[in-house]
Amino acid sequence: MIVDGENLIVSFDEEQDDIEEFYTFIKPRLEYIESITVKSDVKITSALLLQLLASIKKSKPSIKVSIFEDSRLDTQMYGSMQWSHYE
Amino acid sequence: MSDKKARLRAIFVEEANEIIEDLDVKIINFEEDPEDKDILNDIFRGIHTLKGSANSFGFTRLGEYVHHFEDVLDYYRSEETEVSKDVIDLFLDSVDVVKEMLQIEIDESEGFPEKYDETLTQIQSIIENRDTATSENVENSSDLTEEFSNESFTAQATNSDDTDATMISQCDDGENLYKITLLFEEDSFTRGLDHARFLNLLGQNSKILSSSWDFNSVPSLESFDFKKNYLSEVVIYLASREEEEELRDIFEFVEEHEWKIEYIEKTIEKEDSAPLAQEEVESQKSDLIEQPSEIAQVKMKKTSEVKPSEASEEKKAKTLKRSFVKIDTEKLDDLFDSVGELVIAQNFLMENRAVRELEDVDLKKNLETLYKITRLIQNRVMGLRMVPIRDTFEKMKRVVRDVNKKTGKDAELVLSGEDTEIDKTMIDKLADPLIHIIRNALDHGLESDEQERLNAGKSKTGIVQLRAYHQGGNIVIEVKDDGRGIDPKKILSKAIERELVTEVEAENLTDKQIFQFIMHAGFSTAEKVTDLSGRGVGLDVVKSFLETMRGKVEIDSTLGKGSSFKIMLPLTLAIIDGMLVRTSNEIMIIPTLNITESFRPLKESIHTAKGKGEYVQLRDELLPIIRLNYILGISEERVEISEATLVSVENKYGKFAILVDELIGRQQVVVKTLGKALAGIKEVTGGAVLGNGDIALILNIDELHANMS
Repeated sequence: MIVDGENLIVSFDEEQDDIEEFYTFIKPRLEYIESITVKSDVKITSALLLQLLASIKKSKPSIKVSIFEDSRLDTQMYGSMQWSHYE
Repeated sequence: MSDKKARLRAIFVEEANEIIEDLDVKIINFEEDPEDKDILNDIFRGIHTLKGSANSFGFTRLGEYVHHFEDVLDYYRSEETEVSKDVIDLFLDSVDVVKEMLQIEIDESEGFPEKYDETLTQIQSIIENRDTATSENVENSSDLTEEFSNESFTAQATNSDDTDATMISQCDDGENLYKITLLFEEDSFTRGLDHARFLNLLGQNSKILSSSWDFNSVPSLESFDFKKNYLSEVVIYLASREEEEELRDIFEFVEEHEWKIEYIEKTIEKEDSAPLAQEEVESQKSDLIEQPSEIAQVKMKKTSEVKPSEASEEKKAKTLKRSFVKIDTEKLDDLFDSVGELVIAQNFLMENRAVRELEDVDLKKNLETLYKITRLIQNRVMGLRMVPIRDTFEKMKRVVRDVNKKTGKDAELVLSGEDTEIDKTMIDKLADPLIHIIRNALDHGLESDEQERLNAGKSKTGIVQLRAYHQGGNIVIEVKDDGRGIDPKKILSKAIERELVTEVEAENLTDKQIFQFIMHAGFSTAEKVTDLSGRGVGLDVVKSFLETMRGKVEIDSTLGKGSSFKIMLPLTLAIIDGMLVRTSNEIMIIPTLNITESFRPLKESIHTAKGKGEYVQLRDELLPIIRLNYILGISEERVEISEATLVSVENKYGKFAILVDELIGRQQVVVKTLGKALAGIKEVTGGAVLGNGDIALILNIDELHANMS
């Protein structure tokens, strides 16, 4: 996880410990974070990250999560990833 | 005509025959289930395709007729009008016209089929009625009408089918499409089940086309529990060259209810064409070969969800459905011949003395492996020639319907064992004999009077059962009716009258032997000869068929209860299960199908009748003895019968005993036809190369019997 001002950068290949750290970090700071950029050109290590990002989006719908900007995300590795009901 | 045109014409004729061949069965199936409009749509599709292709290839008379036939089919599939028995008759008659018309076109002869005008008039009458009705309800057309009115239609799928269609279009040739749904429970992460892990495993050898993540149950951050899985469903579409079983292995440790896999079937149907110029057709056909995706309509059927336990069977069936490849049967025969040579070569190796004396354990192991693999290849190649008997059985429905119509009887055909497999070469020859037996059963077997049946405590509807099953190394096809049965006395009296048997000989005949007389050419006890049967021709055809197929028929009947005709055929003509016997110094093969038993006779059971030969008493039967070496002219040696072995064999005319010096053993042998020089020896049907390289002749039991007589 990289903190870039009001933007957070995470990657699909975050390990579980990193995801937990990310959760611990963002939970008290959610109102200050404007956007989360997700690096999606690498292997997903855990689905935990995706459901955490969905939870963040649900908690603060105005936050921009790069992979959720469209209803689908086209990736090289996993084809088209489609999300439902994150609002 | 250029080679290319001739080739395309041949393809068209073959495809047209395939379409036409199925039409009767489909129409009868539709009559049985008139609510199922899919069957009618299927018939319509076939005729529609035939129309386009016929016109394209210059078969304009055929094209014009099927155009009218298509109209009438379209009327009934688009309307809720009841399809009466008369309409079904018209459909079936029209199929007959189409069949004859195709043949006329192929032969390039003049004229039209007999029922051409009659059926066309009936069709036009229905169409005129339709036109009146249509003017009142123009918009009441089915989806298929729209589908076919659009020259370049594409799959009009919605919802999940839409997704399926998109996914199918992304699959490369040879790739299967699977839909995998992960339904992990809330505690899955603590059990080590992570969706991402499975996504990565699936992606290792396959192509993930898409994944759909359902975040519906994900709570807000406040209630978020790091240990819980909130992803209620993740759907993955996978394009893979792997078999379903291999994919299932990935989920070996996942509970059954937490995942499912569906195989999405993709069937490619050629786009139907409106009449095209010949050149366009040629170009289209070659495009079809080179770029199927561009001119093919992708149509998909989503298979139902399957439980892991059912998956293997289901997948097997699906694999069969999508794996058909047309192969010239001659090529299969060539392949089989080559495998036969391989088996023989391998047998040479195994029987070679130097090889047998080798003490190298590894080499022996390798030879054993070679033996197993060779047998495996042989069995698999054999399997290529085997096809289910279903299509032939289904065709009999039309026969029953036609006979019912002609005789005014009410008979039902009950099929069973349709999936029983039989050698393709035999199936082609089986239809005619079966038609004859079934016609006989319906025409003569079943009572002509309903009251007669009711008085006998039977149902009003006569039942004809058509069964296929395996018995030993044979396939049995049985036609059984619940009719009046055959009167053996009547048969016997006719046989005596025709001098097929003397009155004295007749005294010792069993009922089964008496029934065999009806297989003689021209033998008929029918008081009234009909155009269906009763001329003694039909069963003679059956007899000829069985002779060429190395099979036999058993007839059984109980007066007042019904009759049964059991056709027993070898599974294949290419391999024979035989008993190797030695006579003098020659090895002969007796087909085990004919053997009932073998025994060493006691001296007191042997009898000689002056001028009538030698006999052996076997329990309550007196069997004539044949000395093989005499009959085949091998030697003049005359061994003591009590010191030899007798093989009791049976054919349709009865039992007799073959005297041999020694029984060597039972063996499956690859049958080789004899050259012209030996073709005249009626007592042998072929030859086989044995493991040691020796040639053994296969005995023709019927001819041996005739020779003895």
